[in-house]
Amino acid sequence: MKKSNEALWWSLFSAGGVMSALFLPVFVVITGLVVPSMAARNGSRVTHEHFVAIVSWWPVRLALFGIIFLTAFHAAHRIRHVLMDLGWRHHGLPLIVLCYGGAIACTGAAGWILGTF
Amino acid sequence: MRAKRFQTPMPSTWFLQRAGYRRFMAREATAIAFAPFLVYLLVWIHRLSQGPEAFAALIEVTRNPVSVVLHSLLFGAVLYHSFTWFNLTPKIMPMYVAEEKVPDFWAAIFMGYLPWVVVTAVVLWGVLR
Repeated sequence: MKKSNEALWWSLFSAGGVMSALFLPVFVVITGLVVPSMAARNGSRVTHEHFVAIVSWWPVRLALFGIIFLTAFHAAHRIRHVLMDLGWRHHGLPLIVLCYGGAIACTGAAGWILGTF
Repeated sequence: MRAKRFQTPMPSTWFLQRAGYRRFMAREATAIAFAPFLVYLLVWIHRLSQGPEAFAALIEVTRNPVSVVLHSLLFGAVLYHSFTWFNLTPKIMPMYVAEEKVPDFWAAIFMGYLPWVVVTAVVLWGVLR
């Protein structure tokens, strides 16, 4: 039987599906609602220093890295399969390079931004 | 030389034909919204690390109506992903207690919705306290 990496991609997809389902809705609420409506007010508790204090704590950075890494591979796998279903099935290798390459780039950027925070 | 594979003609709009296909494609397409959000999240964290001025400029951008519309669309996509993911979890990973299969409804609550409520509450508490 031909060796395949599908099991690896699928387990990353699955883990990322769980992480994104649990964390992304509240993240969107924070970046889209909490920050714009509260952070600009005078005397707000949700300030720059407040968020810096949160992200400076290493367990938060580690969690953010895990969430971003797994969500990136989840999205890459799904986008790849959407494009295959839309008729790109015969461009297998370029799709793999584009999708998982994007996820690797995103993971690298997350490692750099969170590692040097 | 290998024989040319036979291909059934399949228009790329095949998923529009049935309601079930449309729901499938809507679910899978949520991932297309995830990619720009991840980039945005990384920019957000990077802006935060650059100091109060950079962060204040970012807040101004998020108060723009365009940002509000994009966040609303994104919120719809992530919610659709969460609901469909938690509802599918018991079908892919059935839950058993004392060799008795837990009904899908309760399995989805225990493995998905309950952890979701806890995670959301903890994150909001951490940010708003």
